[in-house]
Amino acid sequence: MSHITIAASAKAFQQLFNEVENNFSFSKSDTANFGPFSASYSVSVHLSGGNLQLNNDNTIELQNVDIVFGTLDFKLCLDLPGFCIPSFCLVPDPWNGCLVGFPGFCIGGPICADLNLSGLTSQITDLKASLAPKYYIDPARLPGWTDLDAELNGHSNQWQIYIDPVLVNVAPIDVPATIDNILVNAITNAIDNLFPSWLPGWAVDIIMAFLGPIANLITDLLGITTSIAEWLSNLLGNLFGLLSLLETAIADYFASKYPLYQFEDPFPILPASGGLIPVKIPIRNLAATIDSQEMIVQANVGA
Amino acid sequence: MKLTFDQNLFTQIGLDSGSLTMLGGVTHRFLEPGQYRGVVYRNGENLADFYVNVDKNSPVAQANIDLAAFEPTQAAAATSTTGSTCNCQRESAKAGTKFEVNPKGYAVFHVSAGAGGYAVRVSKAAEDPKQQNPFDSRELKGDDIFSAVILRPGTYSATNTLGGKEKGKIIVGYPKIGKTAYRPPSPVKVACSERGFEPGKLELQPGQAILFHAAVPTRITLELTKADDGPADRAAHVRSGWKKAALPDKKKKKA
Repeated sequence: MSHITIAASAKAFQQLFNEVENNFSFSKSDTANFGPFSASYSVSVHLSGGNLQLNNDNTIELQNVDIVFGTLDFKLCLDLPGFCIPSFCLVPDPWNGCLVGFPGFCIGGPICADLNLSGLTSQITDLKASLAPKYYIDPARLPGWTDLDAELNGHSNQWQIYIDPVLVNVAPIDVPATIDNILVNAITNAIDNLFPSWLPGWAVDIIMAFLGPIANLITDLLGITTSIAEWLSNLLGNLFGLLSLLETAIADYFASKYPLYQFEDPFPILPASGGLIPVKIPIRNLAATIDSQEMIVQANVGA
Repeated sequence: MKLTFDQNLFTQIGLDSGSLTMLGGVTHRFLEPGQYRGVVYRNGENLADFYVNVDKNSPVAQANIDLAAFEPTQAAAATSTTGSTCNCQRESAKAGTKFEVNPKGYAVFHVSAGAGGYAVRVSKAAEDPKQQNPFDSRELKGDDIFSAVILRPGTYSATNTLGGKEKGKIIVGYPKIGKTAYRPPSPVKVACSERGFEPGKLELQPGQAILFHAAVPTRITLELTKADDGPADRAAHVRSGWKKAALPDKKKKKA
């Protein structure tokens, strides 16, 4: 039988969990070339809300946690094919082919569009975990120190209880359909800004006629077969691997970065007073379990 | 970032078959096999020479000869001499470059970049002037073709400065942004005879080519007589500057 048993109700557990969740942050930036275009992003993420459920099988389950992209700066660069004078046939052959052609040529150039996609969201659709106690030895603690020395120097050892995920699923990034217009406007803007000031209006109109509708140009150049929103979600989530990175970061964070609960070892029973040193008891064999009602932490008092 | 632009495409409005620019080219057939020597002129001055080997055994049906490539240096061709802002990578042809073509094939003289102003004269390497059978782009004849592309919308007057009584009229329409990207229609053929041009009046779309077939000594000039600047209510082009492309603010979800 354990010497110590502590229980935290589901409500208390939720409060402990909220603090863990609120402390999560993830940031990442990357750039990649995808052939006809290149893209880069810079992202910072936090978690918000969700449903926490305690189970009788010693697990917790988390659902519908919003992953909020507080910052998501996205840059898309592509080679504008521009204005082409197509090659044309000077001397046709008798089989409707061309015997002699005039060499065509194109003018074009790279353009980039910056999109501020901050505020997009995804979700942790499912996170299942158990509790994992760990004993933390402060690396700054010197070998010759007693427990009292460690406490006085702020480097006590700790018992920590982590949420140890066994699975994390993150949903695709939810990109609204309005991104179509935003991207088209951004690309149109970028093209407009490329035209030199000396270019006469009729020349601008010819080039824009050659380019055709910008929405079609974008989908053609980027090889988009679905909607722009789906394409962007797939680009960020899968091609850049942001979903996998998030899943790994979330799992790693819960499992080892921010404990659900921690306390120092030896545990102080009475503070120092009247010239006497504090009274502390060593905690051993800590175990944390969970059921649908509460979290239970049990331990023994060591020597 | 800059759009790769050769401003000569949009600043040179008229065309002259005897002074080739990016929007004009000349096609010639060398019917007799043998060695030919060509000279490239820019604005009347000798720029470079080259050779054409017309060989019955040659598999080459079309020799593309880029006159701009004979400029002394690409840098000079792309900036100071031509006034171009194009940074295109072109292969530079050194003086004395040899080309090859089958006598049943064609030599196409064109200009890939720059301000142009080129003419070319090619004659057979023979002592007897009667056997030299010279070709001069300033005087097209026989099967020669002058191919011209007009970009600037408006009405043009076509003239054969070496003959032809009647002038031609060419109307180039104003571009419209359609549901698909615009591509110029197929080239239009025009015969140059003693009477003038046949047909004498053409309606073209911007970028649509005209192929002038020279049946008589011909030097074509195309001159803008009336510009078409589009609809009166056409919005003037202005740089839009930087604009924030961002998702609209979402209202916070209710808890």
